[in-house]
Amino acid sequence: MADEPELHPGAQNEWVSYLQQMLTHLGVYSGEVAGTFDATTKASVEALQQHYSIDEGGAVGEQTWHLLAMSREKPNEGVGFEQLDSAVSTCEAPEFETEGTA
Amino acid sequence: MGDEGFVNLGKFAWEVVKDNRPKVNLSADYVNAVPKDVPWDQLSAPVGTNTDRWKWRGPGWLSDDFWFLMELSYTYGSRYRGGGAYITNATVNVIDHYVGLGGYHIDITCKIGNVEPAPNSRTNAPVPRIPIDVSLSYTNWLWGGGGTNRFEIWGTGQRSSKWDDMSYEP
Repeated sequence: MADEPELHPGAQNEWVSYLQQMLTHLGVYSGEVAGTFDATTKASVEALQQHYSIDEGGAVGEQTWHLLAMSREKPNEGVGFEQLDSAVSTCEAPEFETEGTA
Repeated sequence: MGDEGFVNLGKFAWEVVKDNRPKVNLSADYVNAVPKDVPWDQLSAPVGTNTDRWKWRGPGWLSDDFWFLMELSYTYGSRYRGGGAYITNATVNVIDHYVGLGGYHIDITCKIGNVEPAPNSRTNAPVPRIPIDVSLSYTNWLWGGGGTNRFEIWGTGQRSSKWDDMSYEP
């Protein structure tokens, strides 16, 4: 991980563009990748931080950058399958009734 | 009527989840195995309904990025002329789900195999079996994955299932 700077709302630089690209890939940002830490970017950062219980006072600091870095690595676990309740009863298959017995 | 006299009057494939959203229409998205060329009103009510629930969990670092609570349900034991054991309705539905962060694109599909006689089927007491494959696939900007839950249900109510996590093909 490079030496990502702490970013605050209002910041304008290439690191903000990088942040916006990461947020876009994570599916939490749909604004322009323009390098400005605007209100839309702030809302996306807050949503991400809230989801992962990160409190950096509205800034993008070490924990958030670490989370974004981790998001580039595939988790070890793929799709987990968990069998839950099943209610299965069975019955017999009787023979057809013959003519005249119905 | 012999063992081969089964027909599926429902569908052979349908989308259960499309672009992260459930889209099952229970009145149309179902499969069955009933006697060929027999009007519905000559079939008895089923003996019962069986259900099977499972949960698919997506990847995640601190929590699951998505999960789907799924259910297979099917009626069993419908009779024709007092005999056999037919399946009048089988469907797969999403009971609950969550799609969070990760930018995932998730699809779940249901595919039906050939309806054939079950091992306990007899000429005078036919029992169909239906193979049902329910597959999940997901992709995001970095990777993809998925798998298939392979079911087989019998007209007498038995069912088998096998989770196949090697079935995903990018």
